[in-house]
Amino acid sequence: MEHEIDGWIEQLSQCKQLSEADVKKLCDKTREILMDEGNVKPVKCPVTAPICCADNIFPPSPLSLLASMHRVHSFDDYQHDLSELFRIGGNSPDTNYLFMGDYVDRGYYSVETVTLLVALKLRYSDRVTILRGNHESRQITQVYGFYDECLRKYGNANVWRFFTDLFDYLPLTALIDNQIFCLHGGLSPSIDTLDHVRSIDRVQEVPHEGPMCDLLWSDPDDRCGWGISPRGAGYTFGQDISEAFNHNNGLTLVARAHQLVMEAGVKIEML
Amino acid sequence: MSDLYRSALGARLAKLPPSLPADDYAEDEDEDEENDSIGDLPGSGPARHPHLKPTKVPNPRFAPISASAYFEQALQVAVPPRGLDCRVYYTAAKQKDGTVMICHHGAGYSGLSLACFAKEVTEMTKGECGVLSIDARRHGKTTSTDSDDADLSIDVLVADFLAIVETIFPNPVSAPTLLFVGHSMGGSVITRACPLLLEKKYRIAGVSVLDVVEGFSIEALPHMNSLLNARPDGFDSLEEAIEWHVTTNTIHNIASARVSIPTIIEHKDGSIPPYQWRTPLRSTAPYWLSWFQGLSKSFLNARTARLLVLAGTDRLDKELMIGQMQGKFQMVVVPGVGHMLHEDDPTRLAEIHVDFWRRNERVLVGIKKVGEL
Repeated sequence: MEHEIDGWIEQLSQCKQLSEADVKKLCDKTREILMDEGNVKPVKCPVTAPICCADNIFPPSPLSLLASMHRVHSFDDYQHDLSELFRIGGNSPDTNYLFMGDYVDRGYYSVETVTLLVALKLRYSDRVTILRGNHESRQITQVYGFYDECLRKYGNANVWRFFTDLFDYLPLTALIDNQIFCLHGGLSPSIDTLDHVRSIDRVQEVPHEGPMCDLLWSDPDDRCGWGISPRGAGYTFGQDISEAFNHNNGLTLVARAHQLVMEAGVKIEML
Repeated sequence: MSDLYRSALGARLAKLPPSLPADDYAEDEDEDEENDSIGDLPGSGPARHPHLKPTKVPNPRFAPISASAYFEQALQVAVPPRGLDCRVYYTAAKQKDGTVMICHHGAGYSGLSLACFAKEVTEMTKGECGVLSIDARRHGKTTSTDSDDADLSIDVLVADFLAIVETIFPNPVSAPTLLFVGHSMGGSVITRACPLLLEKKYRIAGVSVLDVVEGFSIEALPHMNSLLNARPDGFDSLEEAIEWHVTTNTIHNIASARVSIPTIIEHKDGSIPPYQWRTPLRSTAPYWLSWFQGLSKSFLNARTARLLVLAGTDRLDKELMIGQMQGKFQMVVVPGVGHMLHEDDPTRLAEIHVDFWRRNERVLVGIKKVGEL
């Protein structure tokens, strides 16, 4: 099996898509692994996390980062992002990788990007963590491009179905060394503790409201307290909210993705 | 995409909407093809005019429908400071503290473009939400008391809109909560009017912009004239005007076209053909740029909930793309509709707006609204 996956990874690293049958096999195998992961996936340092932006880490800390996979517009971007990722992670067998969602829908290589990530997850399941973003959903991918891309590249919607069925199993959050709470969107007024998060039944399409929706959709805000999110799903939360959440859960910070940042991504190494 | 560009493009799209039996159209289709090929040539003379063909009997399938089933009232409102006698269609909210959606149509259309949408909204909310739809200057049944009312630049349209709102709801304190919906050119008007009305202390639940994006509209402007050539100068009957909008796929919903089109066509004695556009789009050309320039910025800066509804695909300009990725507004893409999305699928559009309204107007203790400090 490992040999076969290595072959897939090699093929995908050249931005060549897998066959439909291989994608099915890949998704079936990966689902078995994801089923055993909790809603709050523990991750150990050192870890490299390609997330969007330093502004999105609360409270601010000297973490740095790499651009998100979301915006792979050309083969060059794809190659660049991959090599950048491995350059940052280095060849150290101890480095862990954490991906915080939104692997599909923008750019022209969503299929190759998400297939590669899932293959890396399957091959190095202990070292690679992939969280769910709001785009890892049937509804959103039908509007924003992943569905169309699958149809175009495979001639039918099977591959889209394999992936979106798999997305239901992705963990919602990660916890680095019990200190740093990582998730795609943000906090929820209906979640006070990590145990709340652990108790969510996550194997479903991303709902339109409620705690699971908020984790994938919420955004931080300059205003303190909670606000209705302008996005049409989730909430906005102020620094006071993330500080209280950190305090209640013995965390040092919340790290998240979800929003574009105008500054160029920089390298991030968590200690 | 630009209102104008899409409307004009619609005229070139395939005919025969699937909902209509093909045999009804066999004859018309041939005529249309003939028109198109000749119409492409500049100054192609009278052959384009359907009136020179044998006059045909108006098709009752395309007969006009009265708006009375869609709104409670149709009123003429005098707005003296703007020199306007303004047509508005209005269904009030049932409760005094309800919300009224105020709708502004796009260039060349009228308040009745939102008739089907209005009916769906009032039914869906059981009257909790009212709808007011206006005919803008030089559109529909709004008339001007000034001799020179040609100017349709954005500042004029915004000043008109403000004056109409203030005439109908003179006291911001007792006025219902307002939610603005604008299609295309109208989207630009309501977006710019929003901060001015907030300043006057009106309660605004949100702004909704239908199928207009600054970047794409401005890019499309150079192509407009050639596309407008595909539009007929006029029609022999209202039925023919309605039929044209349906068969060219400009409007995919025959029921809506039968309500909305009659007010954008006027009978002119002595004109050839006798039914002419109330607002010839070409005459609005000097103002196109003003409608769209700065729209994205105004939209992102509106201090209220923001909704952008697009037809088909998410074609955002750079500013909106950044804004969207930063979570500054809600975007909904509606599949299977054209630029006249509120006419093509009024039920879906009403659902989107009622959800938007409920989400942003619900009272949750300790949770701020969008734009609230």
